[in-house]
Amino acid sequence: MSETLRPVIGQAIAIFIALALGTVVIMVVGESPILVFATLLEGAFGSTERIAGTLLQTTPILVCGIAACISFRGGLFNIGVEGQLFMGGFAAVIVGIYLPLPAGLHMLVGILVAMLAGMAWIAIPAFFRARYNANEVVSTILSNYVAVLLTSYFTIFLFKRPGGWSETAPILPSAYLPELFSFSRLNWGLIIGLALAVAVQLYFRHTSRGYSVSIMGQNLKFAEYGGVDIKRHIFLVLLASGAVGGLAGGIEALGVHHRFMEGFAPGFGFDGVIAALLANGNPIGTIGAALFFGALRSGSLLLEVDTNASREIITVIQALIILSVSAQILMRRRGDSTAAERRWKF
Amino acid sequence: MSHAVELRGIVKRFGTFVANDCVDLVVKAGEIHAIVGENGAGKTTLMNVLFGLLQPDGGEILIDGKPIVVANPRAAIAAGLGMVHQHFKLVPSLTVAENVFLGMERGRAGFVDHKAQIAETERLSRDFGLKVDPTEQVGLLSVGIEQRIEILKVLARGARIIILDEPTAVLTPQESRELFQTLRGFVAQGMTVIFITHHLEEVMAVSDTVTVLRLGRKVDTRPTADVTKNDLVQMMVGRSVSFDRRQREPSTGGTVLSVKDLWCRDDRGLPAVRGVSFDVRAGEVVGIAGVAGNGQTELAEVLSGLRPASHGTFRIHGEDLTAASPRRIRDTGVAHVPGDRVVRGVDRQSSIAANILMGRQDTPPWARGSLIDWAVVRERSSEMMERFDVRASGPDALVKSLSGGNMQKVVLAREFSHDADFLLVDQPTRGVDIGATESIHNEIMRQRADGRAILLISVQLDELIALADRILVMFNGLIMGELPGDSVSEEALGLLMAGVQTGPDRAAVA
Amino acid sequence: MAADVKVAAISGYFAQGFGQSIVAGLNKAKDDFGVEVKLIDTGNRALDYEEQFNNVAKDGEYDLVFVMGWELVDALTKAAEAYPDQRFIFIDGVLDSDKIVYADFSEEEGSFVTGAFASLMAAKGSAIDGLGDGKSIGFVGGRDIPVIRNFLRGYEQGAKAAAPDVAVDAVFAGTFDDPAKGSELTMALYGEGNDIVYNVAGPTGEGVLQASAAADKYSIGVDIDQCDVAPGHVMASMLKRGDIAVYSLIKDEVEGRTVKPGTYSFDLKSGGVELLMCPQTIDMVPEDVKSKVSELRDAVINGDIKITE
Repeated sequence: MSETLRPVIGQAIAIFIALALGTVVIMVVGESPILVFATLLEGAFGSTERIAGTLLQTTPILVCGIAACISFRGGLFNIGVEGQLFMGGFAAVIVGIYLPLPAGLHMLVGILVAMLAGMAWIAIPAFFRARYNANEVVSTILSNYVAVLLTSYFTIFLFKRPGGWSETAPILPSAYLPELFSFSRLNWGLIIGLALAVAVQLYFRHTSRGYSVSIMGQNLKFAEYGGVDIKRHIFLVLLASGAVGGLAGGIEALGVHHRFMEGFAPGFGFDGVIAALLANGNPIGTIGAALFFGALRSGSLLLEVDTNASREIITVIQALIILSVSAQILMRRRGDSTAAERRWKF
Repeated sequence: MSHAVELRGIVKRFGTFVANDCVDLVVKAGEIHAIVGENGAGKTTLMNVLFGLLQPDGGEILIDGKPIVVANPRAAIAAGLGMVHQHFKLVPSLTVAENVFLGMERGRAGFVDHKAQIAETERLSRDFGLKVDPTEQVGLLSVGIEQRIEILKVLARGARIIILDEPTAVLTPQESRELFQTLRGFVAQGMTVIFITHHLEEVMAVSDTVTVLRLGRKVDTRPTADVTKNDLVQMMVGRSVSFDRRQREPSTGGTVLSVKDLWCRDDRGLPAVRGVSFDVRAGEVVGIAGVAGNGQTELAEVLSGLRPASHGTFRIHGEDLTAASPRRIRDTGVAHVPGDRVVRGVDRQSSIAANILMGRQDTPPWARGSLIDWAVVRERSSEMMERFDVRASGPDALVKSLSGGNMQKVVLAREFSHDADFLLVDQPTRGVDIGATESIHNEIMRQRADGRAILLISVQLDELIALADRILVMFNGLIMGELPGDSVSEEALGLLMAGVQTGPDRAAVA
Repeated sequence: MAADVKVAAISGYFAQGFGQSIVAGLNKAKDDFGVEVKLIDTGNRALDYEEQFNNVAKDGEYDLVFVMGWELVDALTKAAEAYPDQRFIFIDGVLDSDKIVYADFSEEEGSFVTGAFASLMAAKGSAIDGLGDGKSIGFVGGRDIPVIRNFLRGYEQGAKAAAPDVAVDAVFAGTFDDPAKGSELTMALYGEGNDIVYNVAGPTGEGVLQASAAADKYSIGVDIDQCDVAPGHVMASMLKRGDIAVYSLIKDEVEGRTVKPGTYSFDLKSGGVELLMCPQTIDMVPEDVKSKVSELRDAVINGDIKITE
């Protein structure tokens, strides 16, 4: 029990430290921390609509977080979720515009194509990681920039809606991911995300392949020794992670924006990765972490209107959380490895 | 001759593990002093204590006859000590001279005086015969030259007593010979050298005095001229526990494993196994003896598919598995108890049940379809824990909470329950207490009686003498000879392990 | 009454040229009338826009909400439906919705004056450094869309009114985001003897201005004061005065002339558009050119000259 509780307490302390530092920052810029935090809470949870707004922000962070979790479980770091989201979103929109199909089916095909696009986008880094052991952190990070710029280029030069802003034409209504309530754009994406989190958790716990991947993530040499085909599993894990990244884009495209534009969903991939880190690669924990970041985002929008504090304060607080969480994780890792080394390295 | 270094009763513990147990050491000024011992004998710990990287739990340190407290490496350097670590700490993007003076840059008014640094590096290089080009970028240089730079760093800091931790581990034989010449040069100039190794030929070739450590204790210090390699092997390996030879029925089975002219390389790409051939029959324990680091680990890795063979073949039941994956080799009927248990043998973060599941996560009844039946896994694990005497709270206990012996029993439980015809058992009792060792030996003999073919790799001679039907001795990647298990003399074994061939057909390899 | 007026502005461009002039107008209104001003930076996340409109409009706290940026059009239209009592003012464009206030700039009037100026200068020919035979002047548009055509129409008619012999050579880059292409097209126009080129092409136009410096020719800026982009080569800038539009709308509201949904045009008369002759080059503009330009400008203001469709 204490073994599972320890990281949770660690993360809680990390967040607490970050919030404490954030308080100092707020005071330094001359705002009242109480007012800022109260406004954040009000903005995130103040009414049914606001809660829906928070969940709307939570959804892409959650799905991206699950994508990151999948790679973390295999001991891999897909930091390219952002790029997979953009590619997935763009692909879903193209299907939504140009491939008329019956309602429902159209949406499902759009979601599927989004996942394939995310998968395709990670395929090259995944191949080089599996085959040549090329560091996936670097290659996936770099692929983000390419994806964001490439989709932007396609949008402006090939698929731009006549007149107006840099955006594509709207998708056909048959491809819409249905909304959950009349008063919000919150849609079935949230349900998909929650179900996926549970499914991924169960998968890693209860299937043979999930077990093999988990063990590979924790001790690659042991998994290799035990007969797990390492290269194959590395490749598959990254593909699965990329597919879920693409799914996040598909949900945003078909559920929220109904088109692709510049500024489609920037930052959600990165927030998802952080949420997954915060949750230690546990998809269920990622739900909580994603909600936390979603609430910060949605609360910060009210902050801008109701106080004189800038939304950037939230960016600062988020950065502080990232810092203290990663410091905390690093310290724990170090503790573990020295304990392991002590037995054999004298 | 005065004493450059004197250690009195050094004790160093890590938790309950005693890495150095009351070690005394006297190093005379102007000598080359070799410290030998197997992996885990406490050599590096002792030197880290001397250099201030670790604080001893007891004992004193005297440098040049004066007691000092070495609180940190800086204090050690001030006292005239210098240490060249096994793993180099160089900055690849900087030049040789910049690395030599890293952290103590020569400069004026806050600017680095590159000219002075280069000139100084050149002077040191000339005086001590360590050829380097001070202006070259370190990242482009070979390992041998990197080591020279590490030594220059130590010299530039004014060291008179130089400690080298396994300096030859990364060097080619040619580079090693050059290094030894350099070390000779150092003592000719009145300096003192301490070097750690487990290669006996190096001890014989270069040292004046040798100290042997075993299991954290000092065995003896002798003038090198007065000992033979065989003496050193006896001292290094020793007999910590005396096991009696196990009674057994003669083995009658057919050949299970057949190895023919097998070669492989180590992690540095140097030949580690150099053409070994042998068979293992059903119902037979074949032992592989040898000082650690002579190719045994690499041989085990090739036989389990974890390391590619560069030449030759091995077959199980006649099937050529030389290029097969670990999975295929397992499926053919091989179980493997790895030598590096913590790294390969278990996943410390997982439960005992999850560890026992490894290798059978696709097999009924452990899994039904692609779903793992954890109830079955737990139940079977509990049964195995009982049979193999694993002491833990239950199958859900995390492996990292277990003692070394119990961890090893988890590995054995998993591997010996695979019904594999061939068991590859590498250092089964390393770091395991006597009680657990006894039960592990019992289990190996039970497997033998069940008709398994067993290859037992061990650096503990008594273990081999107790269990093996035949003992093959490896030295420097070769099998030096075969001895019958029932009438082996430690003398003969020791000679072979030291690389001295008794038979007429092969010359000694040194 | 006056002190009670509260206004907000939503945009992602407060730090950029046109956005800065809107902030300047808001600040002037704050100083002059004591109105309360709230700036809301939209950032770049499309998901946030709707929520931001809701937050601003929910309490009906602000009398006027200025909106700038085409990416906000969707969220604006929805918010205008959801909060029918909230007056949103969309700056620099006219949309379909009849619930929104539009601040529209008469770019054709400003471009008329610009065309007159450019053609008069060109007609001076080699009397002025860097000019050639003066048979035609150039125009680089971003894309061939109605609003850009509107600029061109004014430019052509202005040129014709001032110097009938000078022709207008117009090209479209097909994009607003490609300075390199703008530069390339401008070089081609210079090659054909168009020594003054007017850019109406957003970032593509940056390339136009830079090309004028590279070729040692002349160019004309648009929307904001672009004289400093290529000093000595940008002769003038056709300004859309966001500050004046914002200020005058707030002034109307403060002084009891309630701002209502519909289009408010900002033209030469109200000072919403104007031609700024760049200080770096103004000394080389002959007096007769200055007076002729001014005369034509007055004629447009008086209605003596109508710019035709």
